[in-house]
Order: sequence, then C-alpha cells, then structure tokens
Amino acid sequence: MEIRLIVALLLFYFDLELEEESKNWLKKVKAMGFFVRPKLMVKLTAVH
Amino acid sequence: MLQPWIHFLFNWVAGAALIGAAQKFWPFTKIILALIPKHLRNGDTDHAAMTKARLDKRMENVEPRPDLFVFPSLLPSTANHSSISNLQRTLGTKSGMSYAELIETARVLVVGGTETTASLLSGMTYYLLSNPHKLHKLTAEIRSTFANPSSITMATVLPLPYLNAVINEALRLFPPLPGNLRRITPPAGSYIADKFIPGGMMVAIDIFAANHSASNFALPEAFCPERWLSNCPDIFEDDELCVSQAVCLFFPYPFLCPHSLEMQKLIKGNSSLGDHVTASARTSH
Repeated sequence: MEIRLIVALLLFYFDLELEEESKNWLKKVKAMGFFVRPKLMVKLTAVH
Repeated sequence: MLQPWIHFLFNWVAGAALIGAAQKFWPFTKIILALIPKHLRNGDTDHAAMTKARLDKRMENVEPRPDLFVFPSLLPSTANHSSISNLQRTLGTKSGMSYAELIETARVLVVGGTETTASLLSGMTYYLLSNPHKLHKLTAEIRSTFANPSSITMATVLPLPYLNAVINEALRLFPPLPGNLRRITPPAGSYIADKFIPGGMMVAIDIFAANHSASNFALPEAFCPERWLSNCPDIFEDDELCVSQAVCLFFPYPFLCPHSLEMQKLIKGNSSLGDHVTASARTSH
C-alpha cells in the first residue's frame, strides 16, 4: 500500500502535532458506509 | 476542500447505506425512501456520471500510460504495452467486457482506490497524534532507517516492523469500510464458523464490531501497534489478530485489490513518490 510510503515520507520531513480544535475529532466522525470525517487539523513543522 | 467527485462518492455510499436500511423495513420501504434527502438518493447517478466522463476520456486516450485498464501489461510476460489494451480490443465482444460492465467496474475501483486510503490516513494520523509516544517511536524508526528521502521507496518501507504494526492497528481501529460487505451463500448452502447456513442467505460480518470486540482483542479501544509485533507484550498474546485479517479474507473479490496492483507496479519501477507527497502535504489539511 502506498500508505507506508506516505507515512514514511511525512514523518521523515515533518514533526506533527494535533491542533486543539481536533482533539475530539474521533467523536465527530460518523460511520455511513465510509467514515464521514470532519477536517483533521494538524500542525506540521519541517525538520529537513 | 473535497474534490467534487469524492463528495459525490460520500453521498453515494451514505445513500446506499440508508437505502439498504430502508429495504429491510418492507412494506414501509417507499415511505422511508421518500424521507432520505434528495442529494443522497442522487449520489448514485452523480457518481455514475462522473465515472462515465472519466472513463470515456480514458478510453479515447490513444497512448495511455499503463494502468488497470491496460491490465495485461502488469504481467511480466507481456512487457510491451500496446497502445490499445486487450480490454479495449475485446470491448463489446462476446469474450470481452461490455461497456456497462466496464462502468460498474470503474465505479468500484474508484471507491477502492481513493477514499479508503484517505480515510485510513486520517484515522491513523489522529490515533498517532493522540498517542505521542507511539508517534515518537514510529518517527524514530523512520528517521533512523533512512538518511535521505530518496532512499524511501515502496520496497524499502515494506519491511519496517513498527510502521507495519501501526498500519495494522489503524486498520483495526479505523477500517476504511467499517460496515459490512454482504455475500449470498451458494445454492447448496455452506458452513460458516462451524454453523450450516442454507443457500441463498445473505451473510456478513460487521467489521467495526469484530475489530473493536474485547473477545478478540485485549484493550480493544486502545491504539497499541505493539500487539502486531512478533515479540508483542504478554497482555496481547491471546489477541485474535486473524480476526482483523480474517475479515478481509471473508470478503475476497475474485480480483486483486487495486492497491496491491498499484503497489506491485510501483515496487517494480522502484519509484519514489517523494516529491508528490511533500507537495500535497504542504497544500492539504
């Protein structure tokens, strides 16, 4: 899966931090065939 | 901002979920259907129209790059990609697919190949960021394995144990298709979990419930990639890891998942998606 590649590159380049407004993200997700998801706000800090 | 097509896709799947539920309440089905918002009921036609437009564009392309619609080119024996694929050559003939079948196939491939990945990625990101020491462990594995981004390829990320554990754990807690995919038993009936099920019955496993059940996993709601490691902590020793995988096995399509095909192609080409990923990481939320 390309997921491995995406995650590896993302974590290679950036430090990730969950934004305050997304701390309860999971509670706002609805399951309707797919998960219907609100925006997940993440702060990226470049390390490379 | 979601791409319009993904938006339709959500409507289609949500609509299908509601219509499916309505069908179980016969003879009130028609009344319940009327209560489903119009944009959800129209999801099916919207998605079909978008797929048709893309498919027609793809079929008109005389020199397509290798993809699922040039399927035989993925096999080593037929390395030369002719500009017209077998699929196109046999389209509409007795031995080939019909145009209607092609559209239906494309509709499913679009769902299988796009939104599932995005969904898992959001779920995994959330779980990782809510468990900073697991995120730290994964980051350490990646940064200690790779000295520079060009060495990060499909083939080199494959053996990373903690990365694989994180993906498996995210798939368990946040399966991209959390509901159930139904199957109909063969006319002669069949044995499922040692019980005889008569023919023509609709059967399904609820993926989310199975993956979150305490009878299958210790600390079922906790994000613990460690349970997937070969030297897992004692507490996870009795975990029924095969449940999470068995659920995938229970719904095998007679085809490979589009992801595995894409993956094989990428590993063979030893290509790196580096530039693509960093570009989209900057622009998307």
